[in-house]
Amino acid sequence: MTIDKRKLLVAVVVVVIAAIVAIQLNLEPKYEKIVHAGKQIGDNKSGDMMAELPGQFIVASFTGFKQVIAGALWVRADEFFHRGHYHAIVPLVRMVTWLDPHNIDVYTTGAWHLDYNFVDYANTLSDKRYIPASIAFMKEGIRNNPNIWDLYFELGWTHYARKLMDNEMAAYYISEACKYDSVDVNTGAKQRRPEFVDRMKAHMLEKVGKLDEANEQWFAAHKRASKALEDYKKNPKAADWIDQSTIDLCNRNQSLLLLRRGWRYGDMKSYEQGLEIAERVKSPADWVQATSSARKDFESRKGKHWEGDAAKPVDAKFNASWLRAAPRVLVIKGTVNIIQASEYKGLASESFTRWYAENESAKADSKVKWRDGSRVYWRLQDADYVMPDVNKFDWTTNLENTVAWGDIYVGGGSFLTKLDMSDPRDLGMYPLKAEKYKLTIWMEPTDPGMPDFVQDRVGWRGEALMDKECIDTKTRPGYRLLKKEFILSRSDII
Amino acid sequence: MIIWAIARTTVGDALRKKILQVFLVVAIGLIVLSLSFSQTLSFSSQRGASSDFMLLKSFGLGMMALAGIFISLILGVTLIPQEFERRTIYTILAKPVKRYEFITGKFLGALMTLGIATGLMGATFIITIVLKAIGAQQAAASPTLGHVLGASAEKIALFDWNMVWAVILVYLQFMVLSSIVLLFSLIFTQTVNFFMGAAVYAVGFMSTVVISLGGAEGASSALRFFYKTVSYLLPRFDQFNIPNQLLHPETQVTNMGAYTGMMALYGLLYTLLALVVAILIFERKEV
Repeated sequence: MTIDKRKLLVAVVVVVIAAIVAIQLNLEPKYEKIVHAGKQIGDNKSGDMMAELPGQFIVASFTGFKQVIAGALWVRADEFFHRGHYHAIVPLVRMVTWLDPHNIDVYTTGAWHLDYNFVDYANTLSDKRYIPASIAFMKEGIRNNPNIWDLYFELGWTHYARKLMDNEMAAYYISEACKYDSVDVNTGAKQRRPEFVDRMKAHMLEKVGKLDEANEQWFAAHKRASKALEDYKKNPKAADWIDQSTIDLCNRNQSLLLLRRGWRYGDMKSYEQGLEIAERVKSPADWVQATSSARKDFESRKGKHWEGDAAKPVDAKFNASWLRAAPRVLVIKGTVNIIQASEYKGLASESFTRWYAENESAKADSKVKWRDGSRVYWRLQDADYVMPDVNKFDWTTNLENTVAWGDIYVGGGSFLTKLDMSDPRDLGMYPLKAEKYKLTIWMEPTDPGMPDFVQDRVGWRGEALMDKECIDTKTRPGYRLLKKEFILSRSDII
Repeated sequence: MIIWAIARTTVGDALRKKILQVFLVVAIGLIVLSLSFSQTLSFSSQRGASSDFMLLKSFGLGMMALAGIFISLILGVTLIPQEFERRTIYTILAKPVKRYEFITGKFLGALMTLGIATGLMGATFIITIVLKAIGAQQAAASPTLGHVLGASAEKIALFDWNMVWAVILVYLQFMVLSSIVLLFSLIFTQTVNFFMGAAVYAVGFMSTVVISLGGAEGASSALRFFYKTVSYLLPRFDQFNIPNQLLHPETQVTNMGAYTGMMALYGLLYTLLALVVAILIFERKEV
């Protein structure tokens, strides 16, 4: 080949490279558009997986490279997440766990995604119909990974407590989590369960009013943390880091449980035990001061008959109603006597919190008549809707059903919210195809969103709650709830 | 004429290779077999028959691509070195055959072989889908199964031109891959070349993953630059997959023909690039 021809060929190479780059730059946006066009039509099809999943992935899944493919798909799912293509993630997640059933992150993230990310267009409510699938997915993860704490905890906290507001089940699964340690994914070595798991178990048991069990758990958490601190001091390199603050945290929380038991039910033994533990904690200063104030209150009540702060009834005067503001728009409103500032006057818990005293001494413009922040919950569903059995995983969520719920902030003794199902883009989330609907509006002291000061006044199980019409003791035996139910016809909403 | 003669001989040689025949037969067999297992692998009962179709098409295209890639790799890896091993290259180059004619003829032969293989697999694929569509339509019309399959089965067309586009795009990626492997065969040994070719395909096919890794949180700028460069330097095999219209009949993407044309141009340019570089190398190679 002559030098001239060689030069010519090199020039051709340069031109071709330039042309390739130019075409690639032109192609990229087109390809993006094509790949994602399937999702832009915006329905909820699990079948999108196939559109996103080139056949080579499917074929390669049958080879020995399962984990590699799973990893690559997971990277792809993450990319979709950042782009907001949420529906495309679900089948990918399913595929990844099918290929690699020990990928914990995929279970936790996938289930969280199902529970939290399918929201209406106003971004106010998530689609609750996916919760059974999410929980079943977590249970599948637990079946595949039964000997580590992670998924039990995640199921209990993220799904049962935060999403379903079912603290009983949350307490159960977090208790299960406390039976296991974990495994270091890099080395395969046993990895100590973090302290917060054990503390959360105690909190959940307390929240549902299982006070003895909660107290026992605080002892167990304290003992475990003390042993860990001892190990760490002996050999800082081999043990996980821990310091005195973890022990103090256990002490503070356990003392609060016992103090509250004393205040709310007049249990002087618990009150005294709570003070003894509280006095072990020497900082911060306001804690020490509050403890000292509570000690004085305890001494003043010693030997006297006293039934506790929750023994004095509170007439809730619960009133809830709804109205149709526009087609597919409901307004839920009402009043509840939870809780007037004056209700805190003279309570034993006041010795510690000093909320009433500080409110009384505040300037007129910042003084409040109500202690705001409690929550009322509402739930609208097809009248015959029963949440599907979540023990067996199934992607076939029935999208014909309508079920939605949420909470409403209570301020000044009243509450109001608008449930807007009218956006045409939300028709899939609120199909409203049934003839009858059940609207339930209720208040429950054990709900996770309920502030502690509500239970300070009405007790863990709502013992002090009174109401002429709306007390409900059947929904959760042993607990007192405020509840009102309405049956709506389709035409009431549409 | 010389190029054409070399190409024809190459096709004859290639088609006699047992290993290529086995790949072809297995791929065709699996595509046909996929008719039976599409039902059991369906992930979405909500979509009914259309979901099965997506799986069937995806599997068929995937199978075709995998078999074709192996054929491209094996063919490309042995194309030139085999001539050295048999010492036939000395006889050929002793005749009035220019080196670029030899390389071009060999490559053209490989393309023709791949064309025959893709044609056979593509025809099987299309016939399989058409048979499935006929079955779905008959089932939808049946009074007992119709309500189970729902309306989706009725909407399925017997023949979808997008299948032809898909087969063409699958063929184009074989063309690019075989040109790269042919180029590598002048530099590396056969084993190294096989794995290098496979790696180029794998990384090129997962370009979106490579780009995602480059954009990952915490990635250093050097790492980002590396991944970005890799994603631009290697052919984007993922772009030869058209997962939308074929697998998603309800999606309307305009100018699919233009896209396919652009991909064809892209593939041809890559092929030309590899071929010119191969010629430049072969011209200086001592034979």
